[in-house]
Amino acid sequence: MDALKTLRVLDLSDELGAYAAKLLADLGAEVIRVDPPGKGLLERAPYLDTTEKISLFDIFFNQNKKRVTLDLSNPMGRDLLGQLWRKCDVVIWSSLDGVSDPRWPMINALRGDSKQIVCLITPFGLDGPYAQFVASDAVIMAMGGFLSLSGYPDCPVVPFGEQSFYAASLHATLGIIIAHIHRLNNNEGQEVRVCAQEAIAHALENAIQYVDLENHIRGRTGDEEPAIGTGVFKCQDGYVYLMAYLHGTPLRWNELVDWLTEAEAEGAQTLKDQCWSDPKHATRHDAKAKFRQIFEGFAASRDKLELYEEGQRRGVNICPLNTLADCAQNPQLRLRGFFRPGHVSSIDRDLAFPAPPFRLSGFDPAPIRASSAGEQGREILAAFGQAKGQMARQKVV
Amino acid sequence: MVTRPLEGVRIADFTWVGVGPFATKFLADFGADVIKVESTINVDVVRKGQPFANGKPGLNRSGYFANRNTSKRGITLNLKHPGGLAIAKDLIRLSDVVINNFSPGVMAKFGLDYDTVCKFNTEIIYVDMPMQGMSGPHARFRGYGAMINALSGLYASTGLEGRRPVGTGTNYPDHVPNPLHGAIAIVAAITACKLGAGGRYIEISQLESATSVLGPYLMQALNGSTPDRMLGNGHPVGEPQWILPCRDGKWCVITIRNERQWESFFTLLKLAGPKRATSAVQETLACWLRGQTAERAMRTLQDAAIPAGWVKDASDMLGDPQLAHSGHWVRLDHPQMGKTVHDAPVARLSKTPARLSAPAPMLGQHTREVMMGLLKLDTTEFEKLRAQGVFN
Repeated sequence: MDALKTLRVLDLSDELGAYAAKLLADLGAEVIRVDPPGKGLLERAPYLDTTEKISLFDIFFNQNKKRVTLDLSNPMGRDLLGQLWRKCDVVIWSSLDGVSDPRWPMINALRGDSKQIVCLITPFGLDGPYAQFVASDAVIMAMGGFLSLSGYPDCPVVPFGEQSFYAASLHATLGIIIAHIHRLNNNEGQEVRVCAQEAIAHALENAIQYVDLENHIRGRTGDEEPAIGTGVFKCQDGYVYLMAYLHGTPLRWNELVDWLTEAEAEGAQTLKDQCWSDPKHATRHDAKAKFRQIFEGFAASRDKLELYEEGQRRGVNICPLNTLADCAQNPQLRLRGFFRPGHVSSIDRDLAFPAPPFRLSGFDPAPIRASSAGEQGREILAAFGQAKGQMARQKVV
Repeated sequence: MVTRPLEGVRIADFTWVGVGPFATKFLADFGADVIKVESTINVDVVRKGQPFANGKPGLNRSGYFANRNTSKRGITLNLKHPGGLAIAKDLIRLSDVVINNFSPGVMAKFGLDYDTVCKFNTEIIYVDMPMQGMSGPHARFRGYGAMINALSGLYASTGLEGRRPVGTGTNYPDHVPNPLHGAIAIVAAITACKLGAGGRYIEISQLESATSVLGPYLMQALNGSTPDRMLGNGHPVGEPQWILPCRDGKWCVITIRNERQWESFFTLLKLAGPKRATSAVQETLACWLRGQTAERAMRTLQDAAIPAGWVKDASDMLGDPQLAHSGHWVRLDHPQMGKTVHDAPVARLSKTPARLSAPAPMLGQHTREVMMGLLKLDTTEFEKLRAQGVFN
């Protein structure tokens, strides 16, 4: 059975909350996605090809949803939204402009007497000193503290893929399902509010505690390894990631040295010296540089996959630094059936999709189907008793 | 006190290190009775992770551990001792959820794998969270959270052109996608269970979970178009975005998302000409930023409704006015560490909020309480088992 089969969700999210509605659809909820006429809120890069007509962003986040188009500048459209709202168990609204979004007064009015679970995802919350601020992923990552850790010592770098959107959406999804459990027990709805800045503040590893307990402000360590053999190393076709030290303790150091010496890597014999497994030596700049020279010399004639499989066979903590193209070819992901075809109705053909991030027994995810904006509009509105003529006259669909 | 929504749910928590303990922490803060099972021989290694209260190392002094294990009870159990294993089974009989993030095969070696457990607890929700899944050619490969960064594509995609990829500077998958996907799958299974669906098995491959948060870009790679290798600090939609230093050495971040924001930006900086992110525009902006503090620049830009912020470090975060307003930093009083700072639960439920109900358990802090309270051992039995080393 579908884990969230009985749940009907109204999806009014923008980029910030799109992943929450996507995950609920993954878990079997009936998700009704509302877009404005014309360009949808999620129709943006990345695109399928250079013509930039087919938005993979829209397709990925809107898979397995029912889609309706409503013109909310029209009173009839707003009325229909109110009707849909009342028929759903959960409503998700998000905006990178937070309460400065022109849509906010309408949402604020609808949420007032709502019996539903209403999830509101904003960059900085609904009130407080930054509530009126408008944002982007990079702004949230900066204001959430993350860019003090990610990047090079001389320059912050925004992590790939707009991670603040996922962080906010993930916390929202958890909150929504927990609110649903409460509603099943007590027949009571409530609001689930998620502030993206907080979601990122929650992802700072131990940086906050370092300040609190040891009065130390962590900075960006960048691409310099914390200890010998721990970080990114160049090989024939890209990079590998190696972990020879963790929290000041050598990890499988002897296995690594044996590998390098058996392969007669230049300089590998010197690594047998006792000083190399001394944590103090391991963090010295010259020791790190020396190890890098030896390892990269060895790796220059070997590719990522070869180093990965041979290193792992020897018990060394090594893996490839996969590009997304490598991920698409990754044998582990492929052989486990993580990539699945799904039908995309706007182009009337199948594309490959990543499967949901979790596997639950007794729950086979529905065949993937990505509808176009508004595709089920008539069907949905007809279910709410709207006559076809009326819909056409009001130009709401 | 308001009843928390997961009260009545018991979780036998065999997870350790990064990803698992964070997943169960979210559920513990919402009221689940999470019983963290450790052993004094192999403690959760994060207990040994910096920083420590007053900089003094100790198994009950790690701030890293404390922030990831709030609201739980902690027991020690030697699973290699038959008596310890019997107690683990008794605990599982009384639990709704069992979770571990060991390598494939470890729980089976103890006879605590799903197939065995569901014979004596047919309603169990059982969660395996291994690195790369329970099956497949790389299932038994070694690794740590940091390596999932590398395998998932996130590391290689983050960096500046012409330099080595730099990744996120943290074990990001351990903090965001993986524990949250895990917790979400568990509460979804609890929901289905409440509706009469019974127990079920959940498998989270940390690799699949981490690569999921690159979804649309992964689809690009899967369907034949080559995604940007590294985007640097550019905006993915091609909207102009700058990260530039200010007078006080702090970095200001500015994104222009639409035509209206372009107009405001040009008016503010007294720029003319086509609205494009040319080097002349960047130079004017850089010069403007060098003349003021990042805070002032952000305020001025935000007053003009332009997305802007500045790069806050951990110390700035503790003084952040918005986080102070929302009560994000919570001080819990820990018996050995004293009052230390923790993150508040992020999802704010208006009627049944989560709450950090207790600081992280000290090693074995609740062993006696759980054995005598929940498992109904009497003092004699408890002491006898203790003498046998069952609680090591």
